[in-house]
Amino acid sequence: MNLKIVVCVSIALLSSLVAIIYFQSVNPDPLMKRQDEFYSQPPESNKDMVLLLGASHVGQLNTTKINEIVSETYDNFVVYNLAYNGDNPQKRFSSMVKILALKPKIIVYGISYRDFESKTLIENDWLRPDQLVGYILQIDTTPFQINPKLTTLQAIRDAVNDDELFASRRQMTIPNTPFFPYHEDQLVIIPNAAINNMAGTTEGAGLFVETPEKTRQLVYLKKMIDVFSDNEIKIALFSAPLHQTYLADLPDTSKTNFSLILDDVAKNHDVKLYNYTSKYSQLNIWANTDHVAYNKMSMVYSEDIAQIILGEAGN
Amino acid sequence: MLFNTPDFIIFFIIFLTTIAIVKNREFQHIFLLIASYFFFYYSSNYLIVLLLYTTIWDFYLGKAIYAANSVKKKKALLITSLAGNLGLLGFFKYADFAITQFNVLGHQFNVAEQIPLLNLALPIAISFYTFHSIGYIIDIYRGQITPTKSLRDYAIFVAFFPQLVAGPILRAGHFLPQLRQKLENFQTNAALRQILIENTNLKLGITMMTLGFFKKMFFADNVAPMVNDIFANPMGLDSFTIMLGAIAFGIQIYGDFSGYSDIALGAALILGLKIPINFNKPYFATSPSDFWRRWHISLSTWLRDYLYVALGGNRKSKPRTYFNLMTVMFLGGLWHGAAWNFVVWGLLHGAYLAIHKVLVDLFPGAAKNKFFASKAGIVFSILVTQYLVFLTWISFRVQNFDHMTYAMQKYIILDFQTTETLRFIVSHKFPFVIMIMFIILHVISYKKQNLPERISNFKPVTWTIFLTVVMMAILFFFDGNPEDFIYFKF
Repeated sequence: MNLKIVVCVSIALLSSLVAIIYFQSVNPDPLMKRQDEFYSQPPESNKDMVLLLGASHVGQLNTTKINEIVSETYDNFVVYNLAYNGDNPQKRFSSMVKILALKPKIIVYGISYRDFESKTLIENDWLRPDQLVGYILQIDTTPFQINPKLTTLQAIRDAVNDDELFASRRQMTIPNTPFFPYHEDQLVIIPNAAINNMAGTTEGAGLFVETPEKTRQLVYLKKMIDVFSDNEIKIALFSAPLHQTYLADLPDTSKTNFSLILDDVAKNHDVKLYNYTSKYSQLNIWANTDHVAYNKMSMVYSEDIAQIILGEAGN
Repeated sequence: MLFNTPDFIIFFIIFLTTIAIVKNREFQHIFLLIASYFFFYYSSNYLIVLLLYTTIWDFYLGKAIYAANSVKKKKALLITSLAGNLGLLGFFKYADFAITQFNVLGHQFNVAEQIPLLNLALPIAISFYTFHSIGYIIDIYRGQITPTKSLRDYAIFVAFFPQLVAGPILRAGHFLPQLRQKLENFQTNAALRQILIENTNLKLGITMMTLGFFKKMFFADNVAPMVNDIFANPMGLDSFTIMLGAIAFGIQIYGDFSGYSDIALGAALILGLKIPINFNKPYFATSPSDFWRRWHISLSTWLRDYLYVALGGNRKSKPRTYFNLMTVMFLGGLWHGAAWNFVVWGLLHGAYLAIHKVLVDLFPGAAKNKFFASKAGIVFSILVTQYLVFLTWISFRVQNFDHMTYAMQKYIILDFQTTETLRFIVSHKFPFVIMIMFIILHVISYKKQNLPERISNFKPVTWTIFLTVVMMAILFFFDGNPEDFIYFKF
């Protein structure tokens, strides 16, 4: 093997790796940046923390409203919504240490069909060499999640400034909701009639959920519940609400398997489970088929979550 | 193990380093086999048993066919081998599809009882290694090759890791002799060939692998979000959006599959082993038959040699030739997956080939026609062929039958609406730019033949700059969630 060729490849590989690492450090992923800022300097408060966790369906909750309701009864509590787009139990599990460091008293975790999509099948972990190290050492070997593409596109947007090329949507942040940027279209209620017209075209139509034993994300959800319980943190789960059009599009097997997953969690863990999947399915409160709008007319969702917190706090 | 993961890079570096350090031939060959099995086991765990079964089954049956002293006995052994191979493939890949069709049929006749689905895991690469093995057996049966005496050689042929998961489909007559010093007729008495990593092969191999990663991770993976968005539910979309989706998917699947093939060819070449090319600028094909001489070449030639010829090829009547073409492409479609959309895809290509054959038979002089021989004529032929090819990509991509028929109808009968198309382009500017870049680079690679060889002949500094630029493009636009290779599931 020619040393010269090996040197050329090594230089190419190293220089591109150094470049990407440098670029990432200068322009961190917006979400990671927000998370680092929050976790490295958590808000100073002598109040007990209540954390809302989950993906975008939890992000749509009005944390200000929830705080108002909770503080009427328990003024020693402060609620933070740590939802972010694309969250799932596996990703959330990777930041468990940081969450525990916040010493929360109550965790309210919102789950949905998307969290258990069948692309995350479990495959006899102990039989797989790539999982073997983690299995033996009992550690999580999930690779560090980075998304250089997101950062690169953001840098291009910043570089071209006002140019419309790759322009991102305008966004705003809401108090006590550090990881979830709000776009204008998340605030607007779309009339039910318009949403009903989306029948057959929602994401639910192609969303397949496997049985509990084949669902990798369930393993992480259970691990997470165990860790919270071991640390004497109260945890409540709720299934996120969906519009009737979305629910009608979901394959029957997905509905059955999602119910089995919820049953599995409820039976095997000391955790309260609130099923809100179809609770507001016909109400006029939706931004789209799977997200309640962040709007004053949609407070019923936030009020119900506040009641979960009050229930847990009273136990 | 996915090629586009750090796991593979680490695996390959360790493998190459070991091969480069330990020169013992016996060790190198055994190590190559163990590495191939490890590669497969890494993502398939216990399903490796099926690969071992296929290897042992056909190794001994191949020998038995060769040793059989009567045609009748040879035929019986051939059928046994085929039953073993196709039975395995059929059971794991098509059982649930067949049960579903049976249940649907039962429902039509008011049969209340439903046969429960088996819900079997689809073994990765089963379609590929089964075809390797069947080809070997048929070649022995036809007397075109003699069986290898070495089980190890045969096992390497079936499990050779660079091409194990998604091809190209190997031919025993081409690959097995490369494991020996004397390149003739499986001389197992001849010494094992030492695996030497030669400079020319190494440089060209690395170049091909880099280009393969570039096609897959830069082009295919970055176009995928737009394709997914369009075809997740195409109902209500206008014609130009569907066309945009079809073109984007054409780019995605080409980048994905030819990228995989390039990595496989490059990895094999570094070891001094030549495996057949799988793609030759298919989007510049000037007719359906030309397309199949350029797209998934190892599959199309396999189907031609072992199925089309066995059916009689074009040696019988003209209608029979057309029928044979349709049958071969129907089965070729079904080979890709147990779903009706693949059947439609295969049948469409079968129809194209048959119609093209009819036209060639009716107008034998058309190819020499002044217009078709001119530049404009060639461009016209390419555009017409690709219009038809991209129509078939819709059926390949969209599984839902209603969605598929809607999208195909919109593709054929244009509505000249542009609102949705503009919206899709505006919300997917990056994939759109990637598509344009792909088209430009594709035209350049068509005009400049043997691009990988040209690049590998660059001076070291230029070559290093090339590698750095490509690697940076891959890394900077990597979205942290590697997409599976599309052909992995076949």
